[in-house]
Amino acid sequence: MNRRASPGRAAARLLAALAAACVLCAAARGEPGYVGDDTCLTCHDGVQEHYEETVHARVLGPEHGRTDLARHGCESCHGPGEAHVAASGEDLAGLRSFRGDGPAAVAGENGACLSCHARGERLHWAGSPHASRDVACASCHTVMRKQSPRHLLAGHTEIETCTSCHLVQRARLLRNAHMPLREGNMSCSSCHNPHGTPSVSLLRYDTVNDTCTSCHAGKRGPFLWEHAPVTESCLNCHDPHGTVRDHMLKLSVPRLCQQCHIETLHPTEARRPDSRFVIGAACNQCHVNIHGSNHPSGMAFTR
Amino acid sequence: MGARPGHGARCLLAGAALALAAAGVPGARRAAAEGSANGTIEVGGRTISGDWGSSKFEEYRDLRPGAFADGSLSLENGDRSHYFQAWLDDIGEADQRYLLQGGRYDFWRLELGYDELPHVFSNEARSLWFRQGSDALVLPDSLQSRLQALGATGGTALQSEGLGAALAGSPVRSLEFELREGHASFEAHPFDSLELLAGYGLQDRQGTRPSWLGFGSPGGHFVGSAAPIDERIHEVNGALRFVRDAYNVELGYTGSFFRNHLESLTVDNPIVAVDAPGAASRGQISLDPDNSAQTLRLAGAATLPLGFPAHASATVSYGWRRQNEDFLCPTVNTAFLVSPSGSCALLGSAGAVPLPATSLDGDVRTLFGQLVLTARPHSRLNLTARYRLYDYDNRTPALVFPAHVVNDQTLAEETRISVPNQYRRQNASFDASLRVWKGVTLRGAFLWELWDRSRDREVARLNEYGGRFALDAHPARWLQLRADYEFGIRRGSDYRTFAYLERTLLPSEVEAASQSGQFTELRKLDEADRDRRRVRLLAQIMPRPDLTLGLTGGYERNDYDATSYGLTNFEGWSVGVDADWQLLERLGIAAWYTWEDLEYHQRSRWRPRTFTPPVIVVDDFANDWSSRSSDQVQSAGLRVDLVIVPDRLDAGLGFEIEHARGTTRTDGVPGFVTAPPGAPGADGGAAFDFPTLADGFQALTTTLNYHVTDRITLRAQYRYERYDVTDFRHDDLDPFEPTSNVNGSGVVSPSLDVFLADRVGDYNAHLFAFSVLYEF
Repeated sequence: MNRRASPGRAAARLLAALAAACVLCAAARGEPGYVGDDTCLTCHDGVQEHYEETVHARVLGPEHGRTDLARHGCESCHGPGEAHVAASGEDLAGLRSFRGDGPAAVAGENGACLSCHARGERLHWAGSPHASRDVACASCHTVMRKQSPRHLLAGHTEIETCTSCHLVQRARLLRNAHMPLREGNMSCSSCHNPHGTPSVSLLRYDTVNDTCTSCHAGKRGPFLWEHAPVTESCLNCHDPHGTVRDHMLKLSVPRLCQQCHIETLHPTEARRPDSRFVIGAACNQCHVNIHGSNHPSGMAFTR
Repeated sequence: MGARPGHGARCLLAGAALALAAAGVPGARRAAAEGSANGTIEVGGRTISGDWGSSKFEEYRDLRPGAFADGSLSLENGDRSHYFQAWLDDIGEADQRYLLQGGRYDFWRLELGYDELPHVFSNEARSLWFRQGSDALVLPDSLQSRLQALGATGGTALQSEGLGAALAGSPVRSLEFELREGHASFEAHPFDSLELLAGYGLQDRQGTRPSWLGFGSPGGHFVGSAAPIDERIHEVNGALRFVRDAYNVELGYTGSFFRNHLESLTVDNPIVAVDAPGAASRGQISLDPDNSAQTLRLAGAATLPLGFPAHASATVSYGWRRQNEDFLCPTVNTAFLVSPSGSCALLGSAGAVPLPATSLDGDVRTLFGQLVLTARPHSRLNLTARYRLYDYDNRTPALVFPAHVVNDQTLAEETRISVPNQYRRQNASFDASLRVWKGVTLRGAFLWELWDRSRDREVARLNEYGGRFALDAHPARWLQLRADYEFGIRRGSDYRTFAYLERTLLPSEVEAASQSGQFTELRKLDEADRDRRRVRLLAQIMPRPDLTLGLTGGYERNDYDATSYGLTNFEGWSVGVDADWQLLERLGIAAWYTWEDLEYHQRSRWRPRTFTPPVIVVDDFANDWSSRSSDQVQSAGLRVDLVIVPDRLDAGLGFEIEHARGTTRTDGVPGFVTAPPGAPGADGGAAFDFPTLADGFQALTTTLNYHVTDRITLRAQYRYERYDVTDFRHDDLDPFEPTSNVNGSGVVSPSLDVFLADRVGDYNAHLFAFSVLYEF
């Protein structure tokens, strides 16, 4: 960095001196350590325009803040600025920059966010996969700028934001058998809550099956005749992020069924590719109710 | 797509949107006189050329030529405390989406949403059956009579020929349904510490989907059909959250109620006109029954007073699942019913056999619990302990059916007992992370999982122990690395191959059934002993402030060493790279590429048997075969954003491409140990590779925006899409496939199968769209 004096630098120092004067005003109002938004904007006026577009501009500050903390405006998130101003802006002096690296800095920054956002979807943040890997809130959200229609996401869309790390999942959206994510009718948060949930894989519901059957409720049962692997987990047969095979199956039928069935009533042949046990819907052409049957004669899932 | 709005209707809707905008914007501005009103309206038209008739082109969307309109609106009052926002996408089209929300920032919010989603399976399916009433697919009686007579006089060969001739005239059917979804939710924070949520959602599905129904077993035939759908899901939820600095508590409820207006689907058998024992003129399958799932949830989290940062959270949820749909009769074959129009009692050899119950009275209770403790006893050390329990307690009564009818054709006077399957799954982990150096953290975790299953499963208890080691390194601002290695060793208790038979049959029948049941050396993949290893890598590099590079990779291997049959091995790996570069102030480029490879190895055995007593099963190593299924997929994307003339002209280019290959190779010893007398004499162990499946998708999108003024933009868009699929199972499938009834030796028997022929074709489409975007 060029440390030589310049007119710009001199102006900055002058502004800092003015800001320092405001610090005294703040202290006089009995708010030690806080300097107020006007002081911050003395130097950081460039952020004002895009910050004004965010929801934070509507809920932070002396006019809108609902809590003591929220009434501090910029300092609600960045922390008290007095020391920073006193250092003429040369040193962060304890301010949170939200660019910190390392677990401690991330924990501090996330703590600042959670001081307001602990409720709602963040109830299970502590101990969640993203929290335990020190993922910063600011990795996925642009707090100072509105780049997405909702939720101040770092990407233009939710999928873009999530797949900036989960690249393979982005690729799977292009698979032949896929759910309507790339068409915009679903998003990652339709099934997952990235802020933490009690269940596995940050699923919104208690189990994989509860998540799937929130839309595919007909497969929920209980059925008169249960297919046990279905009852336990849809993932035994399907990959919901997209597959090359029909119906988001991990393997094509009949090979999928033949992984667990080597019986005689149904001679488990390797089968020829032109056989009715392979073409069309293969096994499901008779075993149509493979997710379970409620028919008194449906024990083989054919009714 | 008869259900979709037509071109004229969409033009009208788009015009109406424009008119509303013209009239509404000043009104909105006046309404927000002291506040602000802004938004966008985009109205335009699109045209398509190329070959875009494939159902894949409109699988989840509506891109037909015509007018289109999108819009958004944001209103705020003077002091910016209250707001209203609306997003309107694809107005009037079959994939339209609307979202409205309003409220007071940080106090309350009301949201209303409505979506439509077309789901097109195939627009080339062919079926001779036509719908009669709400739940029957029928054929002309004359056709059934003619085919039955052909069978009587000329045998199956002539019948097959007649069926083929009839099916040649099968009309094309579109298999698709429309999902309409609406929701309303309300969220309020009357006090800073209190949060209330309430919501209601409705999903409605109407249309058709592929379905099948089999007649006769073994050696029977089946009919593919376009089954009607008429379903609704109502979801109600609510929550009360109390949040303080040191703790929070949540009480929540979710209720999901599934209503299927169709209980069954009845399909005519093409080759039988009159019911008789061994011959059904129609068959009936049950459709998804009405059911409900309700869950009550209590969750809380608290900071622990331990002198160092520590936190605990716990969740308990209790669920009820009910299903009590009236049973269908065991058959619609009148030859087996005591009273075809009355009760469902079967006409057994010793008299009437009634159903044991009129409905299931299905009752499942679920219990989910989780406890998480996190602590930072030292600034460099983080500890996390987690325990999770899921108990699926199935209280549905086991019903004893003294008789049933196999595929509506054969009365089987044998006892079958329904099994209410249940299980309990517990897992726990203990995770410690230690910051060993500035920006470098090592992590280690112990993992444990236990399954307890009901006695109808082969393995009652399945234990898995494992561990995870991870390195998170952020040695410099420009470099971040994450690497994980995870392993798991799963072992089960004794594998009881005939556990299911022991629960569903009378004890006296188990031994005989076991002789021809599952292969005793098979271990099913979800219950088998397994050794699992997984490696994941993520690197993010920022060599310059305007350039971000990413590298991801993963490898997973599951070995099922304790079994030689069933799934024996799974191996998968992936690599991916991505780059995001703001090359110039006015030029940004992003690109990514991934390769993924998945491979499954399995082994099986052809086990011919006699179908008439005495039961003889040939179990010989010579009839073994093995199969290797693998998928290789490459995907890539590119995005370029260019500002040509600042504030006047900009352009965007996006390109995505995917190419996938799915192979199934099979190996088997040529020749076979012959089947016993009375069993099919095919060489079931002979190996045949399946033709390779392949699909490719590419989409190129270019957009040019000319900003006429600050508020008005003219937009021109060109999009090219291409989809190619090669799938031997569907590509040339016709309703009648004369050689479909072929055995392992290649011997063809006359076919009576009816396929749905639900092909999905290739497409290539050039879309041109022009629109006007007005921002206010």
